Amino acid sequence: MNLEKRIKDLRRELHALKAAFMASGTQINLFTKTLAYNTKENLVNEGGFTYDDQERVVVTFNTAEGVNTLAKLEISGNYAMVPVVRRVPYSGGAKWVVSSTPRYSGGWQATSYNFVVQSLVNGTVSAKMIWE
Amino acid sequence: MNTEQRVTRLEQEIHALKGYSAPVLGQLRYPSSAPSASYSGTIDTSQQQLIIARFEATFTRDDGGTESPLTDFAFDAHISPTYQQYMASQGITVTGNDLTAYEDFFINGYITKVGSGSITFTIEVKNAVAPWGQAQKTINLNVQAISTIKGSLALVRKL
Repeated sequence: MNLEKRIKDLRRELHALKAAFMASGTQINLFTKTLAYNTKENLVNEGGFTYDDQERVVVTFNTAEGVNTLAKLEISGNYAMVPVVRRVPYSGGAKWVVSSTPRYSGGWQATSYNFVVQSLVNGTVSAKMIWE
Repeated sequence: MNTEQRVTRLEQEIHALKGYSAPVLGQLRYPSSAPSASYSGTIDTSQQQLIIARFEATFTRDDGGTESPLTDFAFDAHISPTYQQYMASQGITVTGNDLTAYEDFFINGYITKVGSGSITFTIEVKNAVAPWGQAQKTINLNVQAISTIKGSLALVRKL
């Protein structure tokens, strides 16, 4: 390959990369999925005495390609208690554990969550109690 | 500028752009091989200070770029003996759906440092994490880093 041809190829590659570089800052793909979920009672029996323990919900985002993804979980709900949220190791998307103390209003009540997952890769979101 | 210099300059500029445009170029490639690290050791829950153990997980990009990599950190921690195991040793049976939920309130992680080509996630264990039984307990920690950029993860106990 002569040098002028090499320079022409390099310029073309540089131009494409610059276009991609500019796009990365302004046009990152972002997929948003939402899910409503009600917790179930975590009733513990300790030597015959029963009480409600913390409720842990596992929120799973599975990507269509089965790859992990950078993702963010936003939460709202019908409960003033701020849940503790941590992302947990997973292969195939993203997974979080959401913990909160049980809600009472004339006895135990389910906590109603609205989960919003924003991800760089498309996928589906699901939720279940950690013991299920 | 002679022809050779022009080629070199173009090649350098292309190399730099490849290093920095990871959200587009690396989006689907590197998260499929997210690096992980683990730690196993003891904690002492009788200590009076609020934080009784601290770990730093640092993800460093491999391509030599100096921009901090966009990274999510994930972790799991298990403490033994569990409350159920301790109560069993006292002759009391504990049953239920989820008996280790309590610990989740006292092990927390945050991004604490943004370095040159790296990012650090700190995991802290509070002294209220497992107040039952003997003070000495075992902790098993597993951390995973998810980034658009290929890199390595190092886990160090700081406290």
